[in-house]
Amino acid sequence: MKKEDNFPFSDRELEQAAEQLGRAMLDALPEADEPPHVFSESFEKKMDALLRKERTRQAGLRWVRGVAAVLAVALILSGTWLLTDTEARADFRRWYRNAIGGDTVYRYYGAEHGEALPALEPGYLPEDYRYQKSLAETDYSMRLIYQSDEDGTFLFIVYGFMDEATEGTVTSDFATYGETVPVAGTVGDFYPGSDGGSSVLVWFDEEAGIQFSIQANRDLETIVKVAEGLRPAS
Amino acid sequence: MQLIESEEERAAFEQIYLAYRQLMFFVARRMLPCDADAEDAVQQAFVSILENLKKESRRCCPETKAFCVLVTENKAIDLLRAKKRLSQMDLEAAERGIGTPPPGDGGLADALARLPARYRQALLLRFYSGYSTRELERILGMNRGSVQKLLWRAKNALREELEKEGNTD
Repeated sequence: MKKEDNFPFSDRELEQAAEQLGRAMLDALPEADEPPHVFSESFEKKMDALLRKERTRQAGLRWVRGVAAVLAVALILSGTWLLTDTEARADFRRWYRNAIGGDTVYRYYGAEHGEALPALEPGYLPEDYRYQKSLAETDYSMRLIYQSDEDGTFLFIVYGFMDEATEGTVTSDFATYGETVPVAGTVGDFYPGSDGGSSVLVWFDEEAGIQFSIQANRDLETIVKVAEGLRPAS
Repeated sequence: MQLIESEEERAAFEQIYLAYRQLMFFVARRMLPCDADAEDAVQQAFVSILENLKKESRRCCPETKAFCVLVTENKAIDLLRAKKRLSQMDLEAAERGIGTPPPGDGGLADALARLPARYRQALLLRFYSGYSTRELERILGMNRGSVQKLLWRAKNALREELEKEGNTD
């Protein structure tokens, strides 16, 4: 049997040992806790919400996936709940960024919002972009889509609540992390597009608990200008 | 990101949830100081299971059960480590995890059982649950280099355990 990296055991031997230990681990655990733990109302509510939201999210994400396939969208903001109790969150950061397999994943911790997502519109857009459509991806996030008359490329503005730990992923297929840049009085992460593709800007309004992203085949300066021009829709 | 893609898959997930949530709570509670923290760990574990459980494993079976236990243990350790101030008890719990009894082979499996929780989990997820390095990145929330380093260190620690017991070939 092949033994790699100077280890005195092969992967096959390790598999057998792991299987033995896995079984021993399960055998040592109780079949049922007596008396069973009565989960808190908050836990039950959040688990119900998780399943309900996953169901609701399907339609939106399918659509988004369709868009992604056709338009090569790099940023997918979706509502995966991390579901933790707000009080227990006190010791943790509000959001964090993780590099996973070249992708960048944002996860957020925050109280459940009690308000409707504000309707926003760009106060500035490059001249050649025309409004296409707005898509409410559940009541937690909104996607505004614009297309250029000149080169047919799209500009996406996506924003949504950071509550209950929404997850956002910037995939490395299209853009990789570049730099931190000032945006609208805060800082954002800029991901230059790969191979001349669209770039992505991600930033947060911590006070309002809203995450924003813009994806467009334009330079940093233009994208930041669009970001800073966002305003309540008229 | 994997999602629940059909009603059937959602039902399978609900079944897993109902079948293992008490067990997962038990696992988390063995390491965490209060019920609320343990529930947090269970919730986070379910999100990870939802995202990462292989399609072919979306049913109640020993492999899925082991995966649920390992992910819950991992999330409980994450919660312990995320605390601003770790007590000695927290550190020990994070190091030991749920503790696994040695299967009694007097060799590799017993040595594996003696490893710190992080190493044991990584090796079990890789070699028992069969997750690839790439899949482990998402399950453990690490990048590829860190996962590779973790697996290498875990194997190294396993070799040292074997040497201690004089079990190397």
